[in-house]
Amino acid sequence: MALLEIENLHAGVDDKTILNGFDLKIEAGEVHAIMGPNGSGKSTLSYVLAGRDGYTAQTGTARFDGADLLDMEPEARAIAGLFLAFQYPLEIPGVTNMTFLRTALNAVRRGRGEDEMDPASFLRMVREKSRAMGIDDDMLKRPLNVGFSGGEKKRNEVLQMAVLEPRLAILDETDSGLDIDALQTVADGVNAMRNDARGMLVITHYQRLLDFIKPDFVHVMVHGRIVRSGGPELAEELERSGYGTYIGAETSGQGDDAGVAHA
Amino acid sequence: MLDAAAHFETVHERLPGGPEVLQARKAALARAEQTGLPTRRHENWHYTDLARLLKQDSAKNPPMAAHCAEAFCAAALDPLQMVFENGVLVGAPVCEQGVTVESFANALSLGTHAHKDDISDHDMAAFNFAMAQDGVVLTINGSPDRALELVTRGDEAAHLRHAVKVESGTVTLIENLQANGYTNAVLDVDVAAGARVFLLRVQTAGDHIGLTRVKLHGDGAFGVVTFVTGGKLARHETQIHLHGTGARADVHGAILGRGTLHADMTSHLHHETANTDSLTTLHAVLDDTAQGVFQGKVVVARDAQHVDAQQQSRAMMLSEHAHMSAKPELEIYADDVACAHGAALGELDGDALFFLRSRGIDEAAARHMLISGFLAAPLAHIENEELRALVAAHVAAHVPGGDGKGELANV
Ligand SMILES: Nc1ncnc2c1ncn2[C@@H]1O[C@H](COP(=O)(O)OP(=O)(O)O)[C@@H](O)[C@H]1O
Ligand SMILES: [Mg+2]
Repeated sequence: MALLEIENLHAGVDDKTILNGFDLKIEAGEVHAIMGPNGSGKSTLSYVLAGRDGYTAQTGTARFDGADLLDMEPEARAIAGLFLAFQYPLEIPGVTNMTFLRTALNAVRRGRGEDEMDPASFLRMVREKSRAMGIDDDMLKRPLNVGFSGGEKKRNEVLQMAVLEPRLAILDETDSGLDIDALQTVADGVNAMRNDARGMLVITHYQRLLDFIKPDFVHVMVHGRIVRSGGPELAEELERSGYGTYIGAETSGQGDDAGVAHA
Repeated sequence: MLDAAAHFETVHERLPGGPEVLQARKAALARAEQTGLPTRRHENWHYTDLARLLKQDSAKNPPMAAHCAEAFCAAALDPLQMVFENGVLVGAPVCEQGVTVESFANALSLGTHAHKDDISDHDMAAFNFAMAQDGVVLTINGSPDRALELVTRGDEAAHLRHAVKVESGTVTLIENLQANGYTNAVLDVDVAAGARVFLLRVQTAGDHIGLTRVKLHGDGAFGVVTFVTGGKLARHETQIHLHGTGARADVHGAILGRGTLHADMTSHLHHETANTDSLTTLHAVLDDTAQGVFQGKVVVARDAQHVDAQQQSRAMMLSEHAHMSAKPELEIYADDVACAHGAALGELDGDALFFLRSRGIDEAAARHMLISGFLAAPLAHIENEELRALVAAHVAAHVPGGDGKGELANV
């Protein structure tokens, strides 16, 4: 059974349809990349899969390990093993990063019928994983994402992924706003989590990230659906030719978004 | 109680103090009657309607259940406790190095605290003196090891008057308001040059009309953090005179309003001299039909240069039937000052809620986390770590949807 199987999904915000017959199948152990111009619906896809309020499916299905994903509360999806690294992580005043991580991990463990992690083991584990992401103790003690730089927020997303150990991680433009060193750190963090049991969906606007996180499959998304799929070579092709060929004449007004930018 | 004079006639014989005190009480009552007991037509009482309270007959409220689970409990800190039950100090005042304690009733009877009729007493304060049953007269010299806690409990209407003089050192006061009945309390605090006073106030029950008047001398510091977590009516008015240069005042409030609670935080900061700072904040979480009021006024006197005075009111509305009124006000007569005020009102952030839920935290726990996080700011103003942890635990248990096991960050 596929880890994630999306079939003919039509979904959107309120009455607006943004995903138009989206299909995707991810097996355990695979890394898929979705590339597409701004506005093509990449974040919408990630929100529909994670269960954000207001992002509703009209027709089609999304199955996670066989279960109807679209029927589950967001927290149930996390417990089932879905993780979304947000394109724009939220700031939560008054809740320290550490408290948040412990609450989330224990909630997920309880939901999976496991025991909560004892405080000492938790601290040791978080310290170790934080260090790998270049996150110091001070950032763990600060309120979640408050006053964090763009790069710090993204590294913090990958830390959450490392702590929660999901079965499927969706990374929504985790590369945007990162300098080359931070990009390397983030990619190392993601690559360290690759294994046979885990699937990944890497969403990006730029080809650059895929130099660091090598995908098994690359999909081009335009207007809410996948218009082409291929191997890693597709990313390189896109880098040379841009999205222009995939975008019909009716969208020529989006010329700014059509090129694949270089860092 | 509607007819204050008639009520006074029935009780004055039982009130402490000799003939001179009685005369002073009568004068105060006359003045209270002259200005009239406050109605919403008085600017200072615009948002809080006392009519219900002042009409309340002396019929007893249901018996109190003052157990620590509901009320705030500071016992873990082993404070020097003074308990007022139905307006009267229970037991003898305790002793502590550097602290002189006397009951207000005793002080009046013995004439050691000869209360002269004070025309600065207005409306409820004048009424308070006319009716005052008891209170505490505290003099503090040096820094006592233990916090001083005033506990108010009981079911009957009570009029308390406290006077605290801090001559030197650093002191922590706790006002633990858990009376089910109606309490009218005046607390006068005089902070000598260089002395520091921190007051934690927690109201968990009843109808409380409180006025705190503070005079700050040079480099003196006064900080108050008021948490209202229960009760029906809460009016906490703070008047601070920053009288000496270098003085600093912190006035912070937090309201956890459910049911029909009406909580009014009114403050007057008078920057009388140069180089004085103040920070006034309110964080209100309002559910059901709860009402919150922030009425803050900052006055900067002429020539009081280099004053930094900030006011901020923030409300988190959890119900469309809850209501918040915010009226920050600046009156500035000096030109070289940094003063600002702001008021923000919003709902629980749906995006933040989704973010937490996407990490496996269920909706109720996520809401609890966001509300607790909102209240972390006023908690952070409690410097003493143990005290902060006690209040945090109390607040966590009272956050809507809180099971008492909730965790507050930054504690
Ligand atoms: N909350 C929303 N309300 C209305 N329109 C939205 C909302 N979110 C996204 N959209 C629209 O949906 C389309 C896809 O957006 P998005 O999923 O963010 O694209 P991408 O992530 O690929 O840049 C855009 O036209 C965008 O304006
Ligand atoms: Mg996006």
